[in-house]
Amino acid sequence: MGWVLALTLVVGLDAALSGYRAVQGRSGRLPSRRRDLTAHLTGLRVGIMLLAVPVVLGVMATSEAEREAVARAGVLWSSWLALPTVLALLVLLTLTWRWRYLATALVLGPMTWLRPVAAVMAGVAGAAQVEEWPARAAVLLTVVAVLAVEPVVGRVSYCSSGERRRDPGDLTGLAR
Amino acid sequence: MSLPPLEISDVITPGPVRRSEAVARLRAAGQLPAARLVERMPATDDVLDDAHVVALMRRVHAELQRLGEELQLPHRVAEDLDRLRERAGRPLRRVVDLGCGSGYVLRWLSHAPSMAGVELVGVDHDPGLMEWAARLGAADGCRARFVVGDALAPGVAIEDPEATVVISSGVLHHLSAQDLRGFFAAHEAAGVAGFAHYDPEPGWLTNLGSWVFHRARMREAVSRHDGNLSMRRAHPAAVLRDAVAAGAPGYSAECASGQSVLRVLRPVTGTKGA
Repeated sequence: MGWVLALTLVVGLDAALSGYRAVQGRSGRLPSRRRDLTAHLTGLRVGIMLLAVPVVLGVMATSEAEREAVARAGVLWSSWLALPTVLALLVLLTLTWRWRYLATALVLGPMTWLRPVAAVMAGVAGAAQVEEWPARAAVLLTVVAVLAVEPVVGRVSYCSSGERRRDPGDLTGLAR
Repeated sequence: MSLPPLEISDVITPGPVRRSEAVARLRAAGQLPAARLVERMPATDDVLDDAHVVALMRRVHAELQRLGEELQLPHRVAEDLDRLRERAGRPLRRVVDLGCGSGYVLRWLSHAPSMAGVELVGVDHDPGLMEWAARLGAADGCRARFVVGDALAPGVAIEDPEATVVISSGVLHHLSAQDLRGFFAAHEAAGVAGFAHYDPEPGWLTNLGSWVFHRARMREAVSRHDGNLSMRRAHPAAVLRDAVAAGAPGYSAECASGQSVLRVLRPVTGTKGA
């Protein structure tokens, strides 16, 4: 259960950060803690929705021991990205702007770029822990769901109707 | 021989712009992917759709603002303004942001305690951006105001030059090395107390960082194209210092040389008579 819980925390944090990233650089408004919190929660909500199907499928297709093995592989193979990211987030929350800049420039920016690599590595390593195809499919679908959170939040929030991207000049409807 | 590379935003604004001419300019400069981007933009009778371009420029500037947030640009500007104020030895009454875009820096500064009592005026040639910046300022409860025009021209934004500092971010690389001298000479002609213009130091580290960050952060193809190109078009510190010495000899100039991960955007600063 320990590894499953750890993976749940990693995926939950990733979904929240994906929601945050999805709305950054969209409206031109000054940063606001309230809007940031809303964005994090939206990411978490969308993550839960997207992950529901693969998680249910995975629970049905695997034994508890297999789930632990999959989760262990997922956590370990993504730890090279997750651990520096958590450290950088602690810097962002606690230190001065110079340190926050360094945390972004040296860790968060490059790690965002490398995030799909970590997700795919974790997924492949996890899928290798199970033998049945439904279980493997569930693991790989989980990876797809994790990577889909940011574009889905962006699309839902800023590309309504899919016809025309939202004009940042339209400030109506933005949370205060 | 190819012409110097062009940023798409420089080619499609100010409107009205003929799409075929914009595409031809980019092709002549050997920028075929950029030309294809402009080719796909909507146009009526070959004139680029104004609403599309205005919205695109706002999206590009919103993404640029995010980069500015991550680079902690307003903190750096506030710190340098304090330094300029100290060096000038006279009160600072107005900060003019030349080519201010979304007005992010001024909107942020308007909430900074060190800027209490200082007037903040943003100037840009793009009316669509200025109208947006003003609405963003109102939404964010800022006291900065925004005007369309040439920031250094008489009567636009500078009234009391001895108490005015001109700033900009990401503007210098839009000027050719030959035009820099005239740019700084305009500061001397206006008689402002000082200036701080932020731009990257060109080089491999800047290019690499820019590429990673634009891939990781920017969604608009135009943002990625122009952002990466602007790093390559930036002027080395020595060129900027020489341009100040030639164009504005009455100013004491400083600009740190060399690339550093500690300061992606570094200012060329000038203090009158210091």
